[in-house]
Amino acid sequence: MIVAERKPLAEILELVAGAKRLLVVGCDTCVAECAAGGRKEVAETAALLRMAFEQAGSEVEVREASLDRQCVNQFLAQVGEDVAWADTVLSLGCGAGVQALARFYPDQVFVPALNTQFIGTTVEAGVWAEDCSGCGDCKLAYFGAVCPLTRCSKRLLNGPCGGSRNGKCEVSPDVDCAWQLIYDRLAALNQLDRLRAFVAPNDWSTSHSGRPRTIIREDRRV
Amino acid sequence: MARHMSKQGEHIVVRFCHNQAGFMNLLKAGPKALPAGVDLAPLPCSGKVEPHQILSFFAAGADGALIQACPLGACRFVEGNRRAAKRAAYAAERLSELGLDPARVRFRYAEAGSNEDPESIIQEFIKSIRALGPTGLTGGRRGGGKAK
Amino acid sequence: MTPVSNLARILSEGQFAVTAECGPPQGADPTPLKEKGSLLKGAADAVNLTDNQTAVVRLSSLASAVALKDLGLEPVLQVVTRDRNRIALQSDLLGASSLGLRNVLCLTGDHQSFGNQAGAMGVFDLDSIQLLHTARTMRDQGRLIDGTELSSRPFFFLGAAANPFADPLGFRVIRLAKKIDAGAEFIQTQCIYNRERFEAWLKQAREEGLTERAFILGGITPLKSVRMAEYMASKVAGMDVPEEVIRRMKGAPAKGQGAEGIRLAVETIEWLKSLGGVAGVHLMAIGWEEKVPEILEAAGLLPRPAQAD
Repeated sequence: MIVAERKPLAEILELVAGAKRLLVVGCDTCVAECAAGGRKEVAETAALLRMAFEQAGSEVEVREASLDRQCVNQFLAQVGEDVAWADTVLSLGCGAGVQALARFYPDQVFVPALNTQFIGTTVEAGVWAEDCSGCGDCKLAYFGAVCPLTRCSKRLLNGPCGGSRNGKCEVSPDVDCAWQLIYDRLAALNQLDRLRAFVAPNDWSTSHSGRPRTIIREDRRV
Repeated sequence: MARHMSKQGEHIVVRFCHNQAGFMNLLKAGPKALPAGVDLAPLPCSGKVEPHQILSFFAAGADGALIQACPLGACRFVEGNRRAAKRAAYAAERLSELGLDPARVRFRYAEAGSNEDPESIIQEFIKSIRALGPTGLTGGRRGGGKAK
Repeated sequence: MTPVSNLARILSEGQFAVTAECGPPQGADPTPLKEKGSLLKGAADAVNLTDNQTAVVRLSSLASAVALKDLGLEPVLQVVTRDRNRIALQSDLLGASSLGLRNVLCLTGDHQSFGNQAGAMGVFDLDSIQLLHTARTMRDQGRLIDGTELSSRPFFFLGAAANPFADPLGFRVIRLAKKIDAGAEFIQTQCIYNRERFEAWLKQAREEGLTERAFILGGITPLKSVRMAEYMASKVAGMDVPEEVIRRMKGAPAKGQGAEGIRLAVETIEWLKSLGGVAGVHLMAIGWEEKVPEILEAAGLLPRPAQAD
């Protein structure tokens, strides 16, 4: 899922400063899973904002709403009345959700409550880790299903570097060395010979580095 | 959520696991058995409590929230009480970001095998909240009130 | 093939080679670098210029290499892939060759979070092995890696770093083989304190035929103090400082720790000379360059063979 974290309250207050009718809208897909922007987090954020506004003596009315997804127009359409009522909308969606809302309701002010970070998984309750950086040319088959571009701090394709220590990355003992993981997996799969071969420089043109990307499927267009 | 706001009193919210017999008896004794300003209600498990609920109590004007859980190791759902402890701590942290004392959220595990008196537990909490004073938030009026 | 550099010539003649290292200053004036360089003149066959080492911005290795070349020293240009993409790297390689720089050491580089520009984007368009492959393609095929023909070829003696002490241990010699396959002709290792581990690595390298295909120079860093030894043991990734080395340093009198560190360095060099498959030594005495001639003298490695023109 897309994993995000809520911005500090102080920053959110700055972003919504001046609002009199504030709509807080969440998303119940990815950001609900990572406990950042689902309906519970909407309720939490709204409660915090109400208290902060009251403390500051600001008269602000706060409404709450939640969408199944903020990245699909059919869902965005459901919140039209609340959007029209508000003078500012605080979106607890990921960066895509905030922008989708802004495209769908071009006359409204949308402000992000979250810092969107990565594509990842719930490793265990309360822990989310980055797995995929959307390179556009998936090579997981060659690396024992551990992505070197995403999980190696230096994006090495012919890793590891000399900084790998006890299975941890030189950047931090909290970060696993991806190449230790790749090595261990390929060893377990009896595919260590994969690591002997030279991996040529990556073609980054399929990644974000190339350009903002769009996929069009004519068979799916109305 | 009921608001028993007395003229000088603190507004306290108390939630407890329904397995806490003493608290259940206090609840059954009716609102007159409670000190003024106390909102008492049971939970199927303390783990049912969520940070957004705790924070909503305060947004609506509560001055303190007490969560009474079953003893450690005695949760019928294995770890509901431990999860509740973490959620209470999280909510308390959020309060401190607003300049409110995190001690306004009290989580306690019941003591195993002891005959705790719920009334004194509640009174003790009221005393500590009284010492902190009201939060200055009323919440009831949309559009906000004057903050202290 | 005719050796393209003094270092290449000395190694191909089977002489025990000496390289040293010089860190450029954090400023635009190369004078401090030249002063360090002149301490090494006549002591080393070639001198490495580090490339924004530990991601700290310094006078560029390319400019530094030219500064030392003008003093009559032979540089080893270190190039990391952390800071430049393949366009800049290939361009800089052409530039280096055009300025008469021949020895190039291809590295990935320490992560940017270690340095003073921690918010910088780490480029890592290529890794060190891909950089070796790139430089060799330019040199031997006269082409860039996309196939574009160069109007004129660069000349290089290509090197890489090797760390016999990093994890995963079982993979280190395979990585060495990959580097040599990609074009590495000489190897400078991480500094050696754990002789047993180094010997095990060297033995494996020898068995794979790698010591026949590339010149391996063992890394040496003289310890200045117990504190330095302990720091390196615990705070530096990929470093192996055995307990007995720390004990030995502790055993020296407070003012004599440096001398003990030098004694240890000299002994290690002599031990390296005795090992089959080691073609030379790479002295990394950063901040202590003035001791290099003394260490080499004691190890019987001076005078150095004259530079051919």
